[in-house]
Amino acid sequence: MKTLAWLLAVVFGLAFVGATLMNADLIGRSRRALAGGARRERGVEARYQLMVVLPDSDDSFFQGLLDGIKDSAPQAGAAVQVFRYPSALPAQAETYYDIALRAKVDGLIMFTPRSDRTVEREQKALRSGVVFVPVGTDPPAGNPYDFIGTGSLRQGLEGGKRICNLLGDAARVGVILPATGSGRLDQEPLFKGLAAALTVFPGAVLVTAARPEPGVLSGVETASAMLRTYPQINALFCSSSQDTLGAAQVVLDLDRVGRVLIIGTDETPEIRRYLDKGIITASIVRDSRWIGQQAVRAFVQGKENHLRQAAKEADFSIRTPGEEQP
Amino acid sequence: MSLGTVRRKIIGNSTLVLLIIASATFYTGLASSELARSVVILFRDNQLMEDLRTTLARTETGLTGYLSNKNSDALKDYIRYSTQLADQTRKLNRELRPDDNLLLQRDLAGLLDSYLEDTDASVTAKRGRDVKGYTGRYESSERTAELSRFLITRIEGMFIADSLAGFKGFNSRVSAVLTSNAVLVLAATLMGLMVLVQFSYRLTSPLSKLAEAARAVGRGEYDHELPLTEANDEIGTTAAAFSSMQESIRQAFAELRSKSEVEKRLMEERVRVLDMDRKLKAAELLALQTQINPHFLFNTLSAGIQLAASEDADRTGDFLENLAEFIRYVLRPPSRLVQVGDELECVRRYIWLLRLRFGERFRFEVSSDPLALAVETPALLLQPLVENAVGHGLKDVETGGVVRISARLAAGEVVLAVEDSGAGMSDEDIERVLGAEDNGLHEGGIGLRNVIRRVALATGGRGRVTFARLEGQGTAVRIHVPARGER
Repeated sequence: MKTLAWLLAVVFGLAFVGATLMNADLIGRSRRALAGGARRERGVEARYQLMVVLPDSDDSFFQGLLDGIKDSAPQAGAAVQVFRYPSALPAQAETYYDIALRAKVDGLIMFTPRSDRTVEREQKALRSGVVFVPVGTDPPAGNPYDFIGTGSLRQGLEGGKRICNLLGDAARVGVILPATGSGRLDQEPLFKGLAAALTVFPGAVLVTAARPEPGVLSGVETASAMLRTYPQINALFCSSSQDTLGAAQVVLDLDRVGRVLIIGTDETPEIRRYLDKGIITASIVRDSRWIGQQAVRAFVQGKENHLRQAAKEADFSIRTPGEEQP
Repeated sequence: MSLGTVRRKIIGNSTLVLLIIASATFYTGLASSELARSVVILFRDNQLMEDLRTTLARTETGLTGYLSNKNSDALKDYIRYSTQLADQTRKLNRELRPDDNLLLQRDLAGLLDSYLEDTDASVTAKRGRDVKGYTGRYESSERTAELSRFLITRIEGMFIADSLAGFKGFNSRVSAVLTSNAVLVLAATLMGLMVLVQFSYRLTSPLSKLAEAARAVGRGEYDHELPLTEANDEIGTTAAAFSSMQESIRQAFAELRSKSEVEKRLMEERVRVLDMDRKLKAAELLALQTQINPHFLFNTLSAGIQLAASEDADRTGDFLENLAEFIRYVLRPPSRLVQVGDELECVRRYIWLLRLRFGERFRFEVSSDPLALAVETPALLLQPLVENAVGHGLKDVETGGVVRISARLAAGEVVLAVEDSGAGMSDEDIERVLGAEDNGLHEGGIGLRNVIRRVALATGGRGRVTFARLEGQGTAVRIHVPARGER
């Protein structure tokens, strides 16, 4: 009995210690969980606060742009703060712009559509001591400094050439313009480039152009409407990855694969899959990551050296099932 | 000081058990307190946001009141709340780290700084009656306030999301924490109980053994083994005292037994002394009787000698003379010491008498070492041996029997030997003679036994009698007596 008492005392002692340790661990974890917000990993201290304002779109262009910014930011010593606004509510970008200026961040990289008052923004930011770097597809009016874009005119030309090479005079083209654009459709550089390419074949016709409403299914809706309204269309030219995928879905749904060519924009795993299956004929891939990297570089130049640079255009490449061209 | 040790042990053990349970209770209390503090941390940031929102609104109200009415109370309110807002703003993060929440706080801090700059400038402009100036800064401050509220809401959302995630993590562990708390308390209680049980056994076990030993002693088992105890406490002292008492009882009983043995021996000795006394008295009586007879015998023999001389019977006269001398020698106290020469002379007289009886049937040879003649020896040692040699050794020898008597001095002792050429004694005969009781029942052994005892008594055990069986030539009896009388 004496030995048993000892044994039990040791067993219960171990249980006591074990329960205490487990309890301490649980409480420690609970505390860490409770105080997670206040005690989170704070990261390495940065030199600059760099605010990024972009539309909240699933388009791979914006994802690539953001990736490029985040890639370059640590090297530049910048802590990146991203604000996304709904594509349908571009006015909300103004709020973030105001916040950036009034909070006196070091730099602001902002997506600016062609119709944006970018020069005015640039000057206002300059007065507030904020380095302003606009990014987008085509330069807004006034050719602001430091703008980095894609040059959609050349995209339109390249897309048009692809269509003409395949269809020649028989080309009947429908074009889906960027949802982020504004103003007259025929004034869009992409439209202009496409139209210019089609002039080589007098028989080729640019049947229609449309700018979809912002949204996930906007490409589907627009492509569907085009093909139903204009059954003669045998080529669709899309200006974003989202619209390209939407157009491909419509062509599949209408069973017009091979009878309607799709010239898309940018590259996602789904687009590659459609390319491999021959549903999409070719895709013009913009190097949006490069845009992001260049934007950070422009910010550093402006912040540290007060240097301003002229607008830059990112390069692009062509993806086809068996072909890749710069 | 050993007194009070058991008490100290009980107090110490109880304290240990209480400490175990108290530590468990203390720990659970501490843990609960820590959790409660964590919950405070959880909502601390949200509270700050709420404070900022409230103070911002009050500051706006104060400013608007002052700008619209130039009300001094409103100005005081503005100053008070703007100061408070500035204090609260200082609690916001201003570090530059790649973290959304921290950067948002930094933005908010920047906005509120701008807001306070605008409001201060607006108040200053109002005092300077600069209408355009104060309205412009006021509008700017209103926009900044709006943006601030926007960020506060956003930060609050992030904090709430963090808090909810934290609470979710906390809540998922609450039941485990409570269970481990219960296990902890239960284990501590059981451990304390087991320590108590073990201690009770440790304390009472020697007492039980002591009680068992006491019962055993009560039954008379004084050798009952008392368990060893190394405890230097009252129990150890009691056990030691009990053990000492047990030993004392054992010794007392041993002494009693010893005394009883001594008394028994004394009683036996007394009985023996009484017996000897009785025998002595009988001997004295016998001696008195025998003292009467020698006088009569010697007078008679003297008369016989004179008669033989008067009748010219020389041989008869010699016989009576030798007989008288022999009897005189024999009747003197046998415990006396005589010279070996006297002893040999006695033997020669005895031989002369034997020849009268046996004629030339046996031959007697007496030889001696001259140095041995003066050595003292107990009287009447050789005659019984010669008598035995003739009476028993040569009993069946018709003629030619030889008896050799010798006295030699060797190695500090005189050796008196009587050898016969008879059939010899068997081992059984020798054994019988040596082991026979002096009860007179063994014929032929009485004289030998008498000789052996007298040699032992007279020499204090140093003298001895040996028997040797001569192969086909009879028996040799040798008496070894230390040569005390040698000069």
